[in-house]
Amino acid sequence: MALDPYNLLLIALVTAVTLATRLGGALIMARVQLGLSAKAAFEAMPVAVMTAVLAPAALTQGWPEALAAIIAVIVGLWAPMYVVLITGMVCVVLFRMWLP
Amino acid sequence: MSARKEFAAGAAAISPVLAAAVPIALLFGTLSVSKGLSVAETALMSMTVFAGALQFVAIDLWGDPAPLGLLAFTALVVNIRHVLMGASLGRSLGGFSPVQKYAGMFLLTDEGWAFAEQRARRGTLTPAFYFGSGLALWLTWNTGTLAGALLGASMGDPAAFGFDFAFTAVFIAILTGFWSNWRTGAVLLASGAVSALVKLAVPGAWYIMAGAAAGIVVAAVLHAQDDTPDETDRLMPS
Repeated sequence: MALDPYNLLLIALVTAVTLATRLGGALIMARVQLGLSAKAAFEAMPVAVMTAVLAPAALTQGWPEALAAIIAVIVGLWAPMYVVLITGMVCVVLFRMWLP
Repeated sequence: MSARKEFAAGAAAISPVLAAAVPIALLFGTLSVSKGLSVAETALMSMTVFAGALQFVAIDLWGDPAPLGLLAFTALVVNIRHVLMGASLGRSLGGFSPVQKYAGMFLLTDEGWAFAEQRARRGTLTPAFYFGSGLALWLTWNTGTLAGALLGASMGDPAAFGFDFAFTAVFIAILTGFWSNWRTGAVLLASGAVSALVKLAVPGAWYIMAGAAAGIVVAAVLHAQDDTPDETDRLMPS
């Protein structure tokens, strides 16, 4: 139950690195002016970063996850978020029963 | 809208993420205790680090003794995407005081950031909305972690109910909300293909930066072509 000093040091270290990455972006943006192409690049950042986080997890785990992800994309184009959430979870459970 | 309403709107907007975060947080608490961290250490890590993906990776690396350098390096690689997110969001923080801006970055998560970007595209992102969504997720994540650490291994396997897929589903819903035209599709394809390939080929979390870079480059190139048709024509052999 105690707080081990070495573990505390590790937690502090991971916290510090995480905080540095969180502050880094805002600090950079406070100092730069953007051209047109750079602006388009920044516009695309949310989609690009989110896809890069998501796609490997969705596509390389196996067929059930990949198929459920594709169905969630189709549903997501018109349905609200809760519907996508529940559809995705139901699909992945069903596909895991039926698929390798 | 009043600040209080904006705060509530932020918390309400992120509510599907909260629902998805509960089982993940419980799982994290359970895993962390099973790896030998105390309940207090587990709770402290969730409060200060507050980054789900990194916390799972860190717990995975945790040993006796845990490798200090490897942990710091992994934290950097896994979270370097926050630099991009912060830079992107920085353009929409005009209504924030400097203190609000930098305090807000402490609450920066993939999910909170996505909702903030979405809000900024549809109108104005207020500090109250940002902190409403950020604090709601922080509270949920920490309550869930603590409960998981206390309950320990008495919990079942979240994969049995598809809960491990919950974040993927929520993320897909956020992503489809960003769709505007064919250029979105091009960025999506580039990021998705490159990140998946790099994930399969290179160990570690580099796939996030590689995929993000691919999508960003495609966006910049497509924009440049669109804006300067004359120059592009001149480059063509006639």
